[in-house]
Amino acid sequence: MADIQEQFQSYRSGRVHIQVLPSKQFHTRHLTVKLVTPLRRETLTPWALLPYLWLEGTSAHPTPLAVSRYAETLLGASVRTLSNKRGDVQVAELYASVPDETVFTVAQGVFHDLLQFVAQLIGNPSGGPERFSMAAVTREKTLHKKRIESLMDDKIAYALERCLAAMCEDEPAGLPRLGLLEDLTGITASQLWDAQQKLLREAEIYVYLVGRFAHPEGMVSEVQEILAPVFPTVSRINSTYTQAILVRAGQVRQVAEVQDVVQGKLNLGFRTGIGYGDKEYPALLFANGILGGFPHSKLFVHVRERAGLAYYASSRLDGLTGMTVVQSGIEMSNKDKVTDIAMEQVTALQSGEITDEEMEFTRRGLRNQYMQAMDQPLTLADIHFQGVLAGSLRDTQDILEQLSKLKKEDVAAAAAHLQLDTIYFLHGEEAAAHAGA
Amino acid sequence: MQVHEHQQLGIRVVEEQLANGLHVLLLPKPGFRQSFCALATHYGSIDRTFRIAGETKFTAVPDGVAHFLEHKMFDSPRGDVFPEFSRNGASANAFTTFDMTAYLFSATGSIAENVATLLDFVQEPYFTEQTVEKEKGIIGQEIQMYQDNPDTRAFYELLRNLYAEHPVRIDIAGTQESIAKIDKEILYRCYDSFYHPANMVFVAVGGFDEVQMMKTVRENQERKTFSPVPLVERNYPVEPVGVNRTRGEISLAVSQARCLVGWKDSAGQQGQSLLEQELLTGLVLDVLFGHSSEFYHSQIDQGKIDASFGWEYELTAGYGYSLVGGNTSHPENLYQEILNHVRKFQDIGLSEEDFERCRRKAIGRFYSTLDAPGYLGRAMMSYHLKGANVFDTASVLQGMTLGQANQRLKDHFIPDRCALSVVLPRS
Repeated sequence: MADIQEQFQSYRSGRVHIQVLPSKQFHTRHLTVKLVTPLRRETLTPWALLPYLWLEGTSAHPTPLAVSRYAETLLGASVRTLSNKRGDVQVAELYASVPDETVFTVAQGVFHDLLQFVAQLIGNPSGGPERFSMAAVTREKTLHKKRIESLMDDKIAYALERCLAAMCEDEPAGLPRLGLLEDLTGITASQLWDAQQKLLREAEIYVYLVGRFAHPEGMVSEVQEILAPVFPTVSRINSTYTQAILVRAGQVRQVAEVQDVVQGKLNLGFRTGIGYGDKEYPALLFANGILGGFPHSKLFVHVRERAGLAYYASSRLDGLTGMTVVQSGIEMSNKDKVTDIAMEQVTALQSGEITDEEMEFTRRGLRNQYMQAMDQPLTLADIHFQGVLAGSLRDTQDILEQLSKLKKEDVAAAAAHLQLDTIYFLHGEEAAAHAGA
Repeated sequence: MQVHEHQQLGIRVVEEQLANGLHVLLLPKPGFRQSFCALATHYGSIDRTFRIAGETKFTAVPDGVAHFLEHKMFDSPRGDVFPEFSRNGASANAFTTFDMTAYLFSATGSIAENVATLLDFVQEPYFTEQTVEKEKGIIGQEIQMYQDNPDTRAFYELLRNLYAEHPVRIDIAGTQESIAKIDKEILYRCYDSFYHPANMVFVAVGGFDEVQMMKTVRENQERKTFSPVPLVERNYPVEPVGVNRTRGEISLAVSQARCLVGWKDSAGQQGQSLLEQELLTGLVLDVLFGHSSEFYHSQIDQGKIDASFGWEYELTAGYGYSLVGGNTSHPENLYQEILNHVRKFQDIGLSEEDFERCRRKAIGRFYSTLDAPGYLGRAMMSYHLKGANVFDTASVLQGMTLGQANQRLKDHFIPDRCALSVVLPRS
C-alpha cells in the first residue's frame, strides 16, 4: 500500500514523548500536549479542572482576556484545553494550531511563539509564585460547575454517559470525565496549586506535532528545549496502560431515568472484554461496523429503514474498554419493540448471519475511515495515542491488512463476546405512567 | 474550463458550466487521500410558494417538503442508495438548509464510481406511496429529537420572533402535522421545479486529478437528457422591517437557561457585496462579543455566561440576521447588557487595535479552513449559490476599514429590529 507512508517519528526524553509527522499536505501546523495519569477518585476533580485553569493567565499574559488576545495576535491561533478520560486513564489536554509559515509568509515565526506560549500556559500560571489567583479559581470553579451540570442538556450524549457510568459504576472507568460536583465545591486555590504540581511531577507527557517541518529533528529539539523545563525531572517513570473492561457476571441491569423529554433515548450497553491491544480487536471493530457503524449496517437497515422506528440507530465501540453501546432515539412506547429488534440483530451477528455484502461493505467502510484519518491531524494523533494507552501501537497499514484477512467466522467469534450488561432508557412522564400501569 | 489561481492561498480552483447548465467547481488538494464531492440545488425550506410558467396561481406546499425530498432521494427503483456508496467505500450524507439542499460523499477510492452514484441518484427521482408513508415515521423521530435540543429550539424561536412573514421563521423539517400532508405528487412537483442541473452546483475538494474528475462529471451529464429549464417563480411574502415580536420564551428539561438576542437586516444581498457585508458584520460582532472581547470576559467574571457564548451572522438574497448569546444564568440581565454594550459602542466606535486584532484572527482562521475538504466544499457551494466566491475572503478582509466597521455597527443594530429568545429550565 504505497499510499500509506506517513508515520509519526518518535522521540523521547524522560517522561516527555514527542511524535512528529512532517507532511507537505497541510496549510496548518498542529500541536497537541497530553498529560496522562491514572484515573482515581482522589485526584479526578482537581485534575479535571486544571486544563481550564491553564487558560486563566500566565505571568506575561496575566488574565484570560490577555491570554485570548495574545493567541489572536498569533494569526488567530486556536488554543483549547480539555479534560478527558480514556478507559481508566485521565488525560489533561491542550491543543493548538496556527497557519503554516512555509505557506503563508505572514505566519513567519508564529509557531515558535506558540510553543513558548503553550509552555507558559501549562507551566507558569499567573497569580504570582506558588499559587493560583483567587479570582481565577473562583471563575473556573463556577464555569466547571456549569460544565458538569450542562452535560444533561445534550440528551443523546447524556444518555450515553449515563449508560456507560451505570455499566461500570464500581470501576475507575465509570468515573465522570469532568469530575464530581461534590468534590468540586470545597476545593481551594492551594489544593489546586498542589494538584497542578503533582500533575506536572507525575504525568507522562505525549506531544504530537503535525506540519510542513523541513527539519523534524530540529523541530523536536526546539520543542524539547521549550517544553521539557515545564516538567521536573523525576527518576521514576509511570507507564500508564489501560485494558478492556472485563465481562461481568450476573443479570442485565435495567436503568430508567425520567426527564421531561419528548423523545426516548434507548442505550444498550455491552461488555466484550476485548480491548485495542487484544488480538481479537480488529474482528470486534469489524463486528461493530456490521452491527451499527454504517448506513448499510444491521441496526440502520432494520430499525430505521425497515421498521421506520427511529431517525438514528447505531452502535459505537470504545476501543480501549471494549464497551459497545447501541443508541437510538425513539417513541417512548416503542422501547420494547426496538430493544427486541436490536437484540435480534446482535444474535444474528453472533450466529454468523452475515452476508457477503455486509462483509465487503464494512471492510471498505472501515478502510475509508482509516484512510480519511490521514487527512486529519488530530485523528491521526488520537489513533496513535490510543495505541500508546493500550500498550500496542497498531499502524494503519497493519490494521488494514488484518481487516482485509478477516472472515465471517472471525467476526462472529468476536461478536460472541458482546454480552448485554445494561439497558438504559431516558424517557418522559408518559412512558413512566405507561410502564407503571 | 477556467482555472482560477489563488497564489496567496497556495490553491487553484477549476470551474466549468456544462451544456445542461450544471456548474462544476473543483479544488484539487494534492496529498489528500480523501475526496469530498457534493451536488447541491438552490432550493431549501423557504421555497414553499411558487408557480411554474403557464400557471396563474402560486401554490404553497406543506412545511418540510425540501427536507422530506432530501430523505426520499435516497430511494431508487433498485432500492436504497446508501449501499451503493458502501459498495465503493464512500461515506454519504445529505442536508437541507433554508435555501439549499445538498447531497455529498467522501471517499478515498473508487472516486469515479462514487461520483456516478451521486449524480445518478440525485437525477433519478423515485417516490412511491409506501416509501413516502414509511419516511414519515423516521422524519417524525428526527423532529422529536430536535424538540429536546435546547440550542435548536432557542434558534428557531428567535427566528419566529424576528420574522412575521418570511418562511425563514419555519423549522426546516416542518412539523409532525405538516409532513403528514406530504405525498409523492408533491415531491415530484418540487423535484421537477428545483432539481434542474441549471439550478445546481457540483463541488469536489480533495486528492483527485481535476482533468479526470471534470471528464467524469461531463460525460455523465452528456449521457442524460433533461427537459428545458423550468421557469419557476418563487414567491416570498413581504416582510415588515420591524420584528414580529420582541421576545419569546420556552421551557425545557435543561440545566442551563439559554438567551439569544438577534437583529434582522432590512434586506438581503448577493454576490461580492454579500461576502463583504457578511465578513464586515462578522468582524464587528467578533470585536463586540468574541472570546477576546471585554464584554465576554466581564460576563464570565460575573458568573453569567460560559464558553458557549458566541455570535453568528447569516445573509442570503432574501434575508439576513445576526445573533448573540448562549447559556446563561441570568437571561434578562444578559439581554439588557448586550443591548447596552451595542449602544455604548455605537457612540464611541470600535478601536483600531481591536479591529486589527480581530481582522488578523479572521484571516488566520480562514487560512486554516484550507485543510478541511468537507468544510471548504460546503462553503464553496453555499457561496456559489449566493453568487459569491469564498476564496475572496482573505482579500475582502484585508481591504476593510475601521470606518466601514463603525458604519456597519450603526446600520445593523437597530432597536426595533431586535428580538430576544429565551429557553428556561423546566422545574
